Amino acid sequence: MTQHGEPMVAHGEDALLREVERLAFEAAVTFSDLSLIVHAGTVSRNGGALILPATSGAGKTTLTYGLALRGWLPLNDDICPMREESRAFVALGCPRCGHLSVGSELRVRGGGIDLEGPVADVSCYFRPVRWGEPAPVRAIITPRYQAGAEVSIAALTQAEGAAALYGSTFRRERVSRHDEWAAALRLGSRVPAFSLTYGSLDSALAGMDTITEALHI
Amino acid sequence: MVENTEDRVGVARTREDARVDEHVHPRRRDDVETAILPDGSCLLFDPVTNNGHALNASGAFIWDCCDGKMSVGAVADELAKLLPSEPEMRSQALEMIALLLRMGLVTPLA
Repeated sequence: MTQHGEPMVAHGEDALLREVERLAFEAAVTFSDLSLIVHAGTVSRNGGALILPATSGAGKTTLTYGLALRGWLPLNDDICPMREESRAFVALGCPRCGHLSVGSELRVRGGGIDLEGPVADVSCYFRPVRWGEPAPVRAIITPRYQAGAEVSIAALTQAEGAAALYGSTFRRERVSRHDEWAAALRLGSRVPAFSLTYGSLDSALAGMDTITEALHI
Repeated sequence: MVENTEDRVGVARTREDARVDEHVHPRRRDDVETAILPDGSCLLFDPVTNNGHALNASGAFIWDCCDGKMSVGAVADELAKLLPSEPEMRSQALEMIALLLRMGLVTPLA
């Protein structure tokens, strides 16, 4: 197997499965013609969705799954495809397995959330038992896990919200970078955006409560 | 005042980075697309790097002033005059313009 002309090396069966799975999703994203696909976790509740754009390691999966404790069910934990409708961007499902470390798995399960896995016996690969329904995006929240941090919430400007989305997009074949920028701009101008820094799942959930109560969602 | 999509950049990291000739006339690149949002913030698109950059309202004002007619010092003075209750505004404006120059979003005219 090669990627970009270079041979791929996988150390062990689990690593090979993970890599093949990643490449399959990457190809689907690359050739999709949806106007906006973002590297993010997404949850929905009562017909509205929250999008959590962040880079790997920011705690997206743990937070996305953990939000089930507040009734927010995951649509995806890493890739959020969106369909643009007349006045809204509808977040769609991408029910892929999430990668949870042993500590994160214990925290999520310890909170009472049902997880299936390890899926296919691949270490650290889990998926939620219940998934959310596609719904219009109501807010953009950029999560940042920082060990030992107090919970901190800051409102972002519309441009910062749009930049957070655009900075989390993927390079694609059928949608130009400029068109993705314009789509991020449209969504960023329609919904509020916040940054959320947290040091534990409990503090993240408290921060999310503060944001969703303020927005009445 | 500027946010790079890859890495948040508030202001220049060091005073040395922020040095800028106040007599230079900064001019924004014609090919950089500007979108002003309803809250007064601004999102730029650089077609050369494909990067997006967020500016807050002060940054958007500075960007608008970078038309090649005003000097760096005059732009900073103008912003400081608009926001007299914020004594740091002039130096922040200078840092902001230095950053825009360093990122290649504006070019210096003599």
